[in-house]
Amino acid sequence: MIPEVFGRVGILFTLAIAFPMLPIMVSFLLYQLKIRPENPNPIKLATYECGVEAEGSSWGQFNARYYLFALGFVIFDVEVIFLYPWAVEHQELALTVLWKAVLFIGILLLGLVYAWRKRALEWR
Amino acid sequence: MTDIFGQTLNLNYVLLLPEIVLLIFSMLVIGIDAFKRQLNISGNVPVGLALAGLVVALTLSILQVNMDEDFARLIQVDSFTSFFRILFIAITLVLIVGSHEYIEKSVSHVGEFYGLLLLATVGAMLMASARELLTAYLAIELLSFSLYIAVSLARSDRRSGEASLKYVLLGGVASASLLYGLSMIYGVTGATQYHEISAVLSAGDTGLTTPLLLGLVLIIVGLGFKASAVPFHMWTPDAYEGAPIPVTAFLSATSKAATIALFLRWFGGPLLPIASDWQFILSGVAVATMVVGNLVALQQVNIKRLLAYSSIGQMGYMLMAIVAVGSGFGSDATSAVLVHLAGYIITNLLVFISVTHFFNQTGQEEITSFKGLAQSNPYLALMITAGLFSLAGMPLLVGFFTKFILFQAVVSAGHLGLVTVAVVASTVSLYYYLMVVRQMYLYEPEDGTEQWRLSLTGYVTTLALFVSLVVFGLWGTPLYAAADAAAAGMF
Repeated sequence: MIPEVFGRVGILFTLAIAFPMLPIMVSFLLYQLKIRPENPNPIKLATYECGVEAEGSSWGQFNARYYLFALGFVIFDVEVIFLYPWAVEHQELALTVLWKAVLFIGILLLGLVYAWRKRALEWR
Repeated sequence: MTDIFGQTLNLNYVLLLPEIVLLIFSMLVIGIDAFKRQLNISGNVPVGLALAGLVVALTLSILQVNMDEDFARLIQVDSFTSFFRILFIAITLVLIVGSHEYIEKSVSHVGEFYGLLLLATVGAMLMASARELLTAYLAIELLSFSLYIAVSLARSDRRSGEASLKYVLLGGVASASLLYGLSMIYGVTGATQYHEISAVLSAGDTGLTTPLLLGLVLIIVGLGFKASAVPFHMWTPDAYEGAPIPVTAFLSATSKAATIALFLRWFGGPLLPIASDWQFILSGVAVATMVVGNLVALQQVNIKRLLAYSSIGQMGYMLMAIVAVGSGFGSDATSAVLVHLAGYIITNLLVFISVTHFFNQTGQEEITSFKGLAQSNPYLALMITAGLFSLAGMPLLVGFFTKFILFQAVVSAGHLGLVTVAVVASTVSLYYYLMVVRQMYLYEPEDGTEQWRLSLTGYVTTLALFVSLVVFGLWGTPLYAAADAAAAGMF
C-alpha cells in the first residue's frame, strides 16, 4: 500500500518538474535547429515583476511593522482554513460542535483584542 | 462516553481541569495586564493571579493522583502524568515565589511573563500526559513557543534578544526534524496512538527498516535538541546566558524534565519493541553528553553558562537510564530516572534562586564575582554550596541518593560501560562545582565585607528547598515511593 501511495506522489513530482522544464527545453531545441529567431533587447530580458521594473537587491530591509500586520493577517487566514470544513459539514454535526467553533473564534478574538490593546494595529 | 464519527470517546473534561485552570489564569494575567491602565490595578495583581492559578491547579492535580483514565484517546491521566503535573506546577510556583523581586526589576512585560510561564507549564504537563504523537508534538510547541518569548524578556540586556533568536532558529530546525521523524513512524505503522504503534512494531518485522530507522534518528535529533544532548547542545549556553535567570532555571528544570518524560513515554512505550535499533544511538549520545557537558564546564567563567553545561552533563546521566529502559528493565530504570529528575530539580532550583538573589544584590553573574560571599552573606554561600555539592553527588544530600539509585538501575540493566563513564564524568564535575565554592570561601570580598540579607520570600523558598535537599538525601523513601508508583503506571 505504501509504495503505491509514494508512487502517486512520485508521478506528481515528475509532472511538476516536467511542466516548467518542457517549454524551456523545446525553446532551446527550436533555437538550436535555427527555427526560432533570437533578437534579445533590454526590455525583453527584464524580469517580469507585475509590470513594474525591478529595482535594487531583493535582500533590502523592510519596516518591521509589515511583519506585525502580516502576523495579524495570518491569524485570520488560518481561521478561515479551520472554519471552512466546519461550515461545509455543520448541518451534519451535533450542536456541541457549534459551541466549539464559537469557542475557537472567541479565542482568536481575545488575540485580536490583545493586539489592539498593545497598539499592534496602529501604524507608528 | 460520547460518540463522535463512529468512535466512542471519553470526553470527561474533569480530567483536564488542572490544565484548563492554568490556561484560564494565564489568559487572565495577560488580559488584565493589557487593560491595566483602565482597571487601575496595582502591580501585585499579575503575580497574585498567577500564584492563585498555580495553587488551584496543584490542588486539582493532587486530587487526581489515583486516576487512570484517558481523555478522547489523546491524553492519559495516570500516575505518571500526576507525578509530572505536580512536579511542573511546583517548579513554577517555587520559581515565582523565589524570584518575583527579580522579575519585577529585571524583566520587561511582567504580565506577559507570568502568563507565558503558566502556558509553558501547561505545555510541559501535556507533554507528559499525551498518549498520541500529534498531541505530544503540539504540547512541545506550546512549551517551546512560550519559552522562545520568555527568553527574550530580560530588560536592558542585549544578549537576551540574541539568545532568543538562536533558540528559536535552532528550535525550529529541531521541531521540523522531530515532525518529519514522527511522520516516518506514522508512515510505517499507520498509527499515531502510542499503544497502536507499539502493537504494530511488536507484531514483527514491518519490512520497512529504512524509513523506521530514519524516523528514529530524526526523533532522537529533535528530542535531543530539547534535552540539549550533545551534539545538539550548541544553543544551550547562549540561551541560558541571555535569558532572565528564572527563565534559565525554568529551561533547566521544566523544559528538561518534560523532554525526559517524553523520552520515557516514547522509548518506554511505542518504540520499546525496536529497542535494539535505538539503544546504541542513545548510548553514543549519552556518553558524548556526559563527557562534553562536564569537560566544557571546566573552562566557564559565567555562572549561568557553568550551570548550562552542568545541566547538559546531568541530561547525559538520564539518557543513559533511557538506554537501560530499552534493556527490559523498564519500570526500575523509569523510577530511577524520576527519582533523579526530582532530586536534580530541587537542587537546581535552590542554586538558581540563590543566584537570582545574588544577582539582585550585586548585578553580577561572573564566577569571580562570588569572591568572599561567605563573609558578606554566609547564609546564601551555604545554600549555593549545598546545591552545588548535591549536583556533584556528595553524600548526605539528595544528589547522592538519586545518583546512586540511577547508576544502580543502569548497572543492573547490564550497561557497566556507560556507568563507568558516568562515574568518571561526575568526579570531573566536582572540580567545577568546587571552583565556585572556592571563590566564596577562600577569597576576601572585593568591595568590603558589607553584610546583606535576602528578602523574606527568598529566605522561605531557599530554606524550604534546602530542607528538602537534606531530608530527601537522608530519607528518600517518599520520593522513591512516588516515582515507583508513577513508573508502575507505565509498564
